[in-house]
Amino acid sequence: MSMKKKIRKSFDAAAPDVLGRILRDCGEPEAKTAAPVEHPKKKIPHWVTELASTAAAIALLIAVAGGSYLYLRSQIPGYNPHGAVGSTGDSIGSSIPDLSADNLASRSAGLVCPEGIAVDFAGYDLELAQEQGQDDTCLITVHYKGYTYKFTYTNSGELIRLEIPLCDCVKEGYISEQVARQIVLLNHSDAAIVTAGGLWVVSDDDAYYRIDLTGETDEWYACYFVNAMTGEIVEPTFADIEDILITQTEDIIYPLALRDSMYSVPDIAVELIQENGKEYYEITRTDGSHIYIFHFDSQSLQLTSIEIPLLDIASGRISKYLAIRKLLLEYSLEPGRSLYEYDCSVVTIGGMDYYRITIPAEDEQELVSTLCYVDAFTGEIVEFDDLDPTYGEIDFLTAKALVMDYLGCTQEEADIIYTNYGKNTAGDYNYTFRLFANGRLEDVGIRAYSGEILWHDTEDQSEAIARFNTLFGDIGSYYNWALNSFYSDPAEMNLNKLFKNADSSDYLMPAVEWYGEWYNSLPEFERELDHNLIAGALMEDVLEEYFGISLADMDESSFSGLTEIRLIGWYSCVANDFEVTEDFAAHGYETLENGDIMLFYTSANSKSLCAVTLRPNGDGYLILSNMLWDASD
Amino acid sequence: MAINTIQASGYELDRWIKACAKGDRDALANLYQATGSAVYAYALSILKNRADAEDVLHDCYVTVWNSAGGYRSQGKPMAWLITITRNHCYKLLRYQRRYVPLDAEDCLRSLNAAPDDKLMVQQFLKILTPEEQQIVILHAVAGCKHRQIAEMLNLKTTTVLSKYHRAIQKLKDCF
Repeated sequence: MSMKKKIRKSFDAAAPDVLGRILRDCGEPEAKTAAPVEHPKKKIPHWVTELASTAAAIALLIAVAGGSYLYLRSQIPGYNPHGAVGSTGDSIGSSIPDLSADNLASRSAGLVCPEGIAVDFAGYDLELAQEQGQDDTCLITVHYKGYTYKFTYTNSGELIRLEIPLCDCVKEGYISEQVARQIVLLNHSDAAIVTAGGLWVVSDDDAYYRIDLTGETDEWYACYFVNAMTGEIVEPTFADIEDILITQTEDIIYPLALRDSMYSVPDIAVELIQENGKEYYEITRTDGSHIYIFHFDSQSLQLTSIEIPLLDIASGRISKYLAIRKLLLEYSLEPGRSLYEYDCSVVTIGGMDYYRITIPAEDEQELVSTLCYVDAFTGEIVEFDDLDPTYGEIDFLTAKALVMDYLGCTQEEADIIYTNYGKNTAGDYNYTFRLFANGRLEDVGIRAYSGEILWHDTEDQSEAIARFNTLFGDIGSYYNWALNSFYSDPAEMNLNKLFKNADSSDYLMPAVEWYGEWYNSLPEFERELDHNLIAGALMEDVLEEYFGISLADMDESSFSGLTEIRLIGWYSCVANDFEVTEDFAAHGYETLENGDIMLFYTSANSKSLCAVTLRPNGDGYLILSNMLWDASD
Repeated sequence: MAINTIQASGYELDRWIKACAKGDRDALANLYQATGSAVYAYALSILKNRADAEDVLHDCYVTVWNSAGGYRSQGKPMAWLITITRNHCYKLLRYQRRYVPLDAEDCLRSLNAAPDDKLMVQQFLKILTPEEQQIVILHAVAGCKHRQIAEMLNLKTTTVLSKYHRAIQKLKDCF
């Protein structure tokens, strides 16, 4: 449902019914002299008077059959501003006709519902009937919801007559675009290219389909507007054209261009200009200091040029729709599809941002899928002669090979945990890899359009240990939890003991003479705390065994809480003597493809699911990491 | 209970107003059902108060009934109704000296509508400027053309068009 209809529906539902009160309070109307009745004048389009010569032709839109049907015949000349309608070329779709009843009925059915009455797909129930018409014509009748459509085909399968019911548009919606096309084609069976320009809803009572026709050899062109309510071919008024053109520029500019002032109201001027024998509409949109100028051909209403202000970076990129339009203009291409359907993204080449637009293949002869680049700030079309044609065409395998090359390992040596391909907020497509390589967990992002490595994160031991510190604070008995993290089976691991253990039996108090001197050197508040001491000779082994690091790595390993007592070659840290078992909740474990084991637990501190990764190491396990676990991984 | 709305063209509205002048209550009922929600919405956008808007809705059609004899058709029946509505709103505001509108959410708390519709009306009154509200109501609910709205609000057609599209975009972003 459109936003307009939603608003209408909401206010309809919200409005209270006070009709009873109103009628109670309304007595006899106050006596007044009724004003002379003025019947509203039926609007007569200016083209009816101006184009008197074509009026008779247009009048061939004859309503017959009790006045309830619009009959359309192939002799109806439409609004053809160039007045040079050719007659060459075959009729559309007439080659090798399939004249079976089923085929004709099927073709006819396609012209009614659900396309025909767009707002109501429910109750779609066609009744088809075929009979032989006069002069070897075939008459197909379709009944739908009380409406009757009639199609007349020649013996060559060409549609020559179409009767569409004048629906109650308020209740049933517009005629279909397909019907609008057929109405126009009945006048131009020699058209080679038919382009529907969409439905222009001017108001609830005013809506048009725009249908553009081009001759086979481009020697003529015609633009039609078909009333979406009645199927009549009409020429819109200047005001309607103004609305249509402004809407077009609106779609092109917003929402990305001038994004800093999206909700500002631009000044818009529309002017019909005659210059050097040419006539065109000029639409000037002024938004702040930026002025966009659009030119539309006055006859075809085709966009013919755009002037884009030279924006600075601070103003943001131009709209990608504007870029697409500019490109299509430059290459004299018809959109052929909605601007929203074009594949367009931002790429950075040489430090500059460009819109990379894929122009799809229109047909087999003319155009293959083409990559084009438009400067994202100035709208200039840029050609990169020396650009690798595969630029932007990296597939998954190529991306994977580039990542392996970057990490310096072979594909056999790396275990890929997961990959992802997606678009980031800037519109760039990236591949993301998470893998075990070089004995580490690696996260690598690579730009899909260039193969450029965007980021590389390594989950190394220092990060893991930093994570320990984050989780358990600076006051921790590294000695204790390091020693007690050695388990023959990780499933038996007591996570509380691992991280919070302060088993007094592990407390080592060296009875050495220097202890008093050292103790007295401590700040007073630290003297109240217990301390664990470990001999320097053992420390290297402990760190290596349980953390995979050496003493030399300690400064980078968040072991700042561990103090070296250089005097005696021992290490000390403040012991943690809290035994708080309810701080943890274990959630089981799983074995990864490479043999590593992940233990899952929830910490009361972080309230988040965490995972400890262990790597088998002899009889026990090496603590590889302890990180927050992202469920999306 | 919501209005049992019906759709009608400008010509039918004209005809019903003239019939009101002759005492045709059915015509008044038809006119009310075709335009009541637009009148209510317009009043709500000015008054920001459900109860006051309901009073104006009532007063507006009583005025229509009493003034229909003096109605001169210019093909703008909706503009006539909106003018009456606006006059009643301003009259009420002058009477109440309530120039500072209440918070939209507060005054709409008792709105009798489905949650979706209620939310739409609330957001409509919350995120759109008063001028945008009137433009959207006149076009989307009252069915006025942009050119008519421009005349009624003394704005350029293109300005109305731009503001309408901008307002719709704001609502789309919101929902």
